[in-house]
Amino acid sequence: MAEIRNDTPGITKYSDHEVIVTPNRLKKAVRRAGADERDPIVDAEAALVELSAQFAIWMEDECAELDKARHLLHAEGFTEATRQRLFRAAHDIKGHGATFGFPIAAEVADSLCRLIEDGAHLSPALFGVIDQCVDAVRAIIRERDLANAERTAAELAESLRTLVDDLLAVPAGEQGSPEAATAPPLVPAAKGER
Amino acid sequence: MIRIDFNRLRFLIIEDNVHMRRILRTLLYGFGSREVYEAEDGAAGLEAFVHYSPDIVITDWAMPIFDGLELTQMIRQPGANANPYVPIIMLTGHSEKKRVIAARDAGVTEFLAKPISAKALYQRILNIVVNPRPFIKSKSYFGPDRRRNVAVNYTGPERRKGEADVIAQNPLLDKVKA
Repeated sequence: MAEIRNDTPGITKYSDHEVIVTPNRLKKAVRRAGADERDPIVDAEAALVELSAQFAIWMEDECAELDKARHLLHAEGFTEATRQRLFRAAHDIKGHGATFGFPIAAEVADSLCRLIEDGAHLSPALFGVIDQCVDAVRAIIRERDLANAERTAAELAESLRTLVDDLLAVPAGEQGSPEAATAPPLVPAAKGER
Repeated sequence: MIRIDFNRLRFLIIEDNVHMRRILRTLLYGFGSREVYEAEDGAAGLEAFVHYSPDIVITDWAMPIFDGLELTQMIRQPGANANPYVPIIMLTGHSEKKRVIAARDAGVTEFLAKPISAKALYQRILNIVVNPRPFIKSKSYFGPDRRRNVAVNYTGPERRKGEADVIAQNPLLDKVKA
């Protein structure tokens, strides 16, 4: 049940606005630190380290959602719903990638987000670039334990960033069949895939 | 040095991604929190806000049904709920300036760009608790004072009528230090 609070704010009126000073109800939580008291940030970071064993699995879950969203886009075309779903999946990886230990996957997801968000003029010809971004994210996660994986991932992310920059720099209506969109994929398919 | 007793604060996390909710909950428990409520979209978040009356709301921006920005605007409706002054931390992967400004103009108290860290989250909460800002209510805005600092070199017109200075604040931090 919500607590009933009777705090009365102080209001100073001016000709076109009011300034309202509310009682600081949170001051109850402030105190001086005791001697030798543990740093709460250190404690929280330690708790996060314990949790980190699950990060790679979580990242694979997020990749699976990104892949589903990509396939839905192919099946149903660009609609508000398919665009939103793909954007949300990419945006999650952009936001969580670094926290989960995959900052380069987050960079690729950022490129994908920009492509979706700034691409109101997107045409089916750009599906190829979307595929490359999705496949790149998946490859970075899948091949994370390989030798030189980080360097290869960084090069891939840079290539895709440049590709997306170039595409978004082209005026609307002129993306019909850009060379980059029809070029061979930058990312090798995993065994058993396409 | 000051400390926050997190076990005396009630948090509401509104975030559609289950993994990020887990991260946030872990960090808050790590700080010492005991009361952490969760909702997975804006609509459920608004309901939880009314029900639990949290001290601090942490919301994602991009969510289904209605997003964190719309949620903030709904909370910042004077008279529409028990606490339109609740501190709101906007957590988002959007870090572009236009996004930060949009969040500020919706009435967000603090903005936290992903990837998040324990330190960044702690600092936002510390700032909320020890440096509360007054609220401004005008025809076009209701939310925390968007002027955090005095711009001594500012030479443009004063946009607020009847007042020329930033409202003097008395941060709790100064009281604690004194």
